[in-house]
Amino acid sequence: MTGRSLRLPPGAIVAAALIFAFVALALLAPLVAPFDPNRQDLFARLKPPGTVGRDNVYHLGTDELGRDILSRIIHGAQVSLLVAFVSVCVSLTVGTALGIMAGYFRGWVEVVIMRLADIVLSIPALLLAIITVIVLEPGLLSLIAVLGFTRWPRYTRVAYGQTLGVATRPFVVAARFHGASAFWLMPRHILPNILNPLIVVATLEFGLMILFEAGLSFLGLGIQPPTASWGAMMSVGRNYLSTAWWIATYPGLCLSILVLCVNLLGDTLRDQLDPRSDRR
Amino acid sequence: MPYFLAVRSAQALFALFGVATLVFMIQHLSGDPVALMVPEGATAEDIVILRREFGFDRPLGVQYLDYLRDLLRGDFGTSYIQNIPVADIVGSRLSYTLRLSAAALAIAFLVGVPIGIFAALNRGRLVEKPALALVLAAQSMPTFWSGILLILLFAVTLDWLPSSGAEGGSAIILPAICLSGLTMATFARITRNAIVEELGKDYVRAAYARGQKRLSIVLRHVSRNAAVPLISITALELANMLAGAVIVETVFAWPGLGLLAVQAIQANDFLVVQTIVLLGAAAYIVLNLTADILYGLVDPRIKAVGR
Repeated sequence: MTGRSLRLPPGAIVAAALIFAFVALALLAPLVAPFDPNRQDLFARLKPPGTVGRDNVYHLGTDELGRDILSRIIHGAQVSLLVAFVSVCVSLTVGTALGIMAGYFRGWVEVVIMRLADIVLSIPALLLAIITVIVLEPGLLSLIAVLGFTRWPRYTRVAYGQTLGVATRPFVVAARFHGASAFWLMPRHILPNILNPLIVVATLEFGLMILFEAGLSFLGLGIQPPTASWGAMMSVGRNYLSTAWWIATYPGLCLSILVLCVNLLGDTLRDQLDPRSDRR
Repeated sequence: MPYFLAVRSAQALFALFGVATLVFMIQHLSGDPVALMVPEGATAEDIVILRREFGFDRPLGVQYLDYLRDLLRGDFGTSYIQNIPVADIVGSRLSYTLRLSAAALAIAFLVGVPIGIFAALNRGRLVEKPALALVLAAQSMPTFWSGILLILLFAVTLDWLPSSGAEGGSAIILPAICLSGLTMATFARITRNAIVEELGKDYVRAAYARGQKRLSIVLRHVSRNAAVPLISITALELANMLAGAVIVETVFAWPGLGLLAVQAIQANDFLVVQTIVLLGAAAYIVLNLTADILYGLVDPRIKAVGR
């Protein structure tokens, strides 16, 4: 990437702006949300969008307990982004470290790490997450732990493949002959040279993690009530589709837009950062 | 080829063994697996009795060997909650998930491949854009959102199709469409890229030179070569569908393995959940192996030696 600046197409700029808007909403949630997300008003249950409440307008309607959908969506964005961000950081760090070690040391280290990665990857991710969450008890922390734990092999495989290519290059070999130890060399010389493809994977994984959080919460295994989460809102709204379509529809719309933007951005980054990707 | 087969099969067997071990480790992660298997409100005495009954008071190594032996014999244990062998519970639901996946695969193929061909033949033109947009949308929409939209449109508003359950022949339509989305997008993308790649090759130029029409070139020559990646990806997609069914079946209350898993989670019936995870992983591994073998069979140039 040396000296080459990123040139983003207009679609990606819009996507980035929307993601930024979601992040800003999530960070400022207590300030911008018109209501307390958990405030119940049993006289204002299942009100359609635009209903005028006692002290404010329910722009997107209310749910089965009379809570404001808009406020819950804004607070739900916090959960979504927090879980996705932290779990991507965890799996990126763990996965990259393991991948570099496997590619640098080779031998039994490589065998152990890569076979373990194969095994974890051979369980469908959602199933692995489900069974682990049950054992750990559902909640924010176990959600992050599970997602971090189940997704590291994705980074390990990329980091491993890249390290194999970099580890034999002259500057690494030269540093080694000058007495550089492996643990000095790996973060300084190998990591910066394999970072670009990892960033691409991390971006695409970020979208996937948002979906996973919502999916697990939809199944009742993620964020526990009454904390607002898009997946849980949709799961409740599923039961009211014929009478109150807005409960499930708006959180789903936000989720789809956010994931679409992240994927668009990820695809663009892949085209720009990864020289081997095909640009057809 | 025989060497490749042997290596890949050995890898698959090892992965199966690894998955079983991993699930065993996860089961003991909480310290006390009995707590995962009893209904809420069980007394301390019940738990002590059950711990002995299940054999959780024995050394971990013994439990592990026993667990592996039972799995090899196809014995998945007995559900404490329902007092029925887990194999029977799971078996009664299996056919629903298989039917749903087959229907979704058919839809994905019948819609995705033509879209891919259409997009490839109109590459770069304006008419390609809506096709690509549809693919991107199908790819980005989570199934529990597209499912809800399908219910809103076809069940609530139009009242054409049932929104849940498995009664009657038409009940499968909505969940199958919902489950097919992601695979449809994959098929369309793969088909498009494969055809675009083939169209640039010498044999296509030769066919043009002989005066053949474009459509006949695509149907007669290009489609055969472009089918290679499609065939092996089909097995992979089927594997992904079996996992995706968990959410789709929950949305549509389709009584397959996915819904069973969710119901078992709510009932604290851990053995059922564990069995479904093991089966899902096994299917995933076997289908991955199938994909690799198919790839080697349809494309004789590939002599891969493991990965």
